[in-house]
Amino acid sequence: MQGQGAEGMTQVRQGIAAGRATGAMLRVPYFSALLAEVAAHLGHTEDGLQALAEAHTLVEQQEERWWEAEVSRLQGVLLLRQTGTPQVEAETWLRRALDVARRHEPQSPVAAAGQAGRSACAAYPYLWLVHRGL
Amino acid sequence: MLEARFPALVETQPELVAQHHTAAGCAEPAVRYWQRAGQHASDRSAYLEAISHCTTRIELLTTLPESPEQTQQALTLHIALGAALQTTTGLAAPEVEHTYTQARAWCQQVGETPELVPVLVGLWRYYNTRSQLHTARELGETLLRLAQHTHDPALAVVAHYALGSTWLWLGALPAARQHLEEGISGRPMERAYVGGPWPCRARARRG
Repeated sequence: MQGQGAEGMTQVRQGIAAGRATGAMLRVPYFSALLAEVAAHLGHTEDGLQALAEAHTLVEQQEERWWEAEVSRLQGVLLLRQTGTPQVEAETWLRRALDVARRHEPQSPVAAAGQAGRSACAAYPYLWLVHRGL
Repeated sequence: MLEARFPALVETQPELVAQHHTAAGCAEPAVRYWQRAGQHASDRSAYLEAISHCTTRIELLTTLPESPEQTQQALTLHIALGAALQTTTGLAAPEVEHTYTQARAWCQQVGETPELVPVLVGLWRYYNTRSQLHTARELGETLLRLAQHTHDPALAVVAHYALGSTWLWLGALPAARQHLEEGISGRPMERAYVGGPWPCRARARRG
């Protein structure tokens, strides 16, 4: 972390646009999730949710599901930060992230974090997010 | 005549000899020298020149009467053109798909030919990079059937890499793992296909 998040966001956006201009759509949902993660670090919740909306659309359109769990998890994290959004909506996305991760493979990082978090922090359902540094 | 008087020129600048033959209306030797020029350019990683030579030659070929040799030459040219286009325009450019689709049609005319392999691999890379994953998966399955049909373990490695990669992007990790492990356990490749050292990349994904 060099504290240049705004510059980072510009570069990620430029990278995604340059790749898409060649017709390459593979991994764009992943890159959009990276953009959302940078936005989250900067506290730009709306920008992050916008990037995730794009990621969700492409995941469905392309059926490119390898990063779907992380896209859903970030959606939950950002919704938790958004004022006025009911917590239950965020929880739905976090549960969905766990379901997708378990469906993909039981040992995936998101599923493992979920299990560790659940057992260790049963009284505080969202604390497992701390395991991921968010 | 030209070749006898300037043997060095033929070696180093076949495109000049090709231009003279083209200008003189001698299509057959022109095609031969454009082929050499294209190969010469590709060998030096001069892909824009290679594309130009291939395109010129494809146009010249259309002026010749149809024959099995002409069909074979058109196929070889489209494969060379596809490989050069992948480098200059990217794997997902429409002209790459157009070129390989034409090459696939030539393959069907020629019959059973090993040149179907670089064509299918080129199309797989195109659809995979565009994230048209089900089309990419079908191409991977075609490659695997071809490997089984021809008892070609090297091609099986390529096919398993293609399928492992595409299943990974689809989020089907057990299927991806199965194909990548089968690819890794396959015999090392004895020859390189157009498009790069596939088994090396398959191995790199093991961790």
